[in-house]
Amino acid sequence: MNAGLLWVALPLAAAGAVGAWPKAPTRRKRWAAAGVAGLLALAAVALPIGRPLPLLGYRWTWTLQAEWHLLGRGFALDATARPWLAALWAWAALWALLAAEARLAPDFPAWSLALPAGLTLALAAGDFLPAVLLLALNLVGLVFLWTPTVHRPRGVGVMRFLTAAVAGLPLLLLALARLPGLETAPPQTPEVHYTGLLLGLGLALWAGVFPFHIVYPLLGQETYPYRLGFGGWLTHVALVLVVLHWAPSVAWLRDNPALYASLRTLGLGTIALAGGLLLVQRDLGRVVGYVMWLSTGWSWLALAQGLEGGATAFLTLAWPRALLWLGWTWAVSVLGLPDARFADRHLAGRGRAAPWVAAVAVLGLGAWAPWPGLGLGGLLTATALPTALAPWEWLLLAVAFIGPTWAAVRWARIFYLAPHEPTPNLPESPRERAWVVVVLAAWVAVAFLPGLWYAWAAAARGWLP
Amino acid sequence: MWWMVGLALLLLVVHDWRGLIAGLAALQAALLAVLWQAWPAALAVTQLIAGWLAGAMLAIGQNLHPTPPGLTPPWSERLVRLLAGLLAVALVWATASTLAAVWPQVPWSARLGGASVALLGLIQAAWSRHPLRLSVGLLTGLSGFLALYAWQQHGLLLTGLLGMFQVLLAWAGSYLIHQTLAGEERL
Repeated sequence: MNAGLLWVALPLAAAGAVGAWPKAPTRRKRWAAAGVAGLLALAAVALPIGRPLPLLGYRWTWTLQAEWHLLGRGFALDATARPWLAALWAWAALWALLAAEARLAPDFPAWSLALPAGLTLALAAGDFLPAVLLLALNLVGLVFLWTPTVHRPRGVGVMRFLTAAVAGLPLLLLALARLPGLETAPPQTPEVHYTGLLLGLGLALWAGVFPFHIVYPLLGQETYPYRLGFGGWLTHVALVLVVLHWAPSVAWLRDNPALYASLRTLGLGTIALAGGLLLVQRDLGRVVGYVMWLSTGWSWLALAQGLEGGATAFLTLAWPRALLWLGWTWAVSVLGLPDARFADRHLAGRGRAAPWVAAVAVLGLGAWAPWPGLGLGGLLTATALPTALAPWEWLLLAVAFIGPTWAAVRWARIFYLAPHEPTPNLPESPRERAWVVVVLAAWVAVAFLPGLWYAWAAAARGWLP
Repeated sequence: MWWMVGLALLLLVVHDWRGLIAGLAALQAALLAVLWQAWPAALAVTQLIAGWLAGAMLAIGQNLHPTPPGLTPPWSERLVRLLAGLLAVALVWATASTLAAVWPQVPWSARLGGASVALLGLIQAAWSRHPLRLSVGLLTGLSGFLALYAWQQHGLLLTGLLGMFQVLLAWAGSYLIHQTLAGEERL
């Protein structure tokens, strides 16, 4: 048996079975999906890859092969891939587990298995070319996950996302076709210039870099926040990991100070602009979209530290941000019940009926600000900003701090102090309050146990060259 | 190759969904003629099947709903679309020397024609708010890209994944058509 069968074929088959399970509600399907994803995460932690595993008193051995071939191309998941495999499937299990509490349709548990399986295959690809093609398939697959419900039938955001996903693929493939022979060329040559331009444009389209960020608020306005958080976050992590796995083989990406300086400016600009735009949003769905863009800004800032330090910083931020996305988008989704409306006039006074869930929605939004030495913001600042900042960079960081903080205060006022009562006003259940405690406990662990995430990041770093 | 450019221009102005699907099928057949020169025959035919399958999926998705893609656009709008398309082709011709420097190994007709079709497809996709037009535009753009890319690389996995990508794109488009039109009917 090879690792591809275990972490790609098995979850895809399970996703098919869960998806085709007739008339089962989300509450039942989520246990099946979370169970399979949890077992795969445990397998990543416990099973040796590429080494014989003794069975029945050492008379028989069983080996999980690390490599396999598909249509002439090699794929591999060796022992160094175990940390990110465990994380990816643990996130999938957690997202599947909370799906019923977020009142998602029964299709979601199947997606919580299928999407990580596709991303695992892309990460296992030996070459960048098949990895890019597999990522493209995953991006198009997100359309099914994000297609709006009947209350939001326009689908403009999803269509723009699809356009960006399809337009990015040819640019990346054309760049890769030009690459052989240019890996060690100096950055100033015209060949490298054209190739870098194609590559940069393709990746910018896929990652929603300014000015292609416009898809985020559109998606946030149309898509259920929990679905957007799940698909957006997992795809972002997989895209960055694929690029980090391949980029060291290209000298003009590996040793190019101008590239990292640009990433730093891009990161600071993104967190400042997204943070500033949070102040003027009247739809909580659009807030989720802009926070997704802001979150990518922290990634660029972390990666600006160079391939070595940047990868570690990015990975250190991975777990805290996953837990923040999970808990926050769950709370926002619950607040939008029963008809998935997220405009401020629909949410006014909602916090009086669901005070605990609203508190998570407010705290989650405020946590995206780079609070010095406190909460997720402290971790963001500590890992993404290790070097000295210029005065104008401090100014951008201040905007990034004020934006989410003031937006959190503003939405707290809307939730708790607004005179209107939403119709109908659903009170939160004891089960939802229990989940609030779990979410807050996870966030406190993020804030006060940074060593845990550093240790995981150091282990996951071993997979990268 | 120039058949492809003509068909891509036609797709910009056609309104009826049957015309769009027929145009897309003809475009895929024209693409086969280009790929035949660059790829092994089996791979070129695989691409044709994937392209036609994508068109069929879009047709099924649209046919499930009696609603037309939208109100019939006035002739002036079609004229503007055509002019924008011709301008895009002229733009590609104007940058012929740059394209030759970037892709010297691609024959000039495939280089200019492929880039023109890709740009026309992108215009079609960017101009539309209807999932059918968007999907047809994106598939047109991919056809132009393939005419350009086929001279640079080929392989079994590459062809298979690109074929899968087109079919999945059409499936997603068909799903969007269903969701959008079903939503409009309920509203």
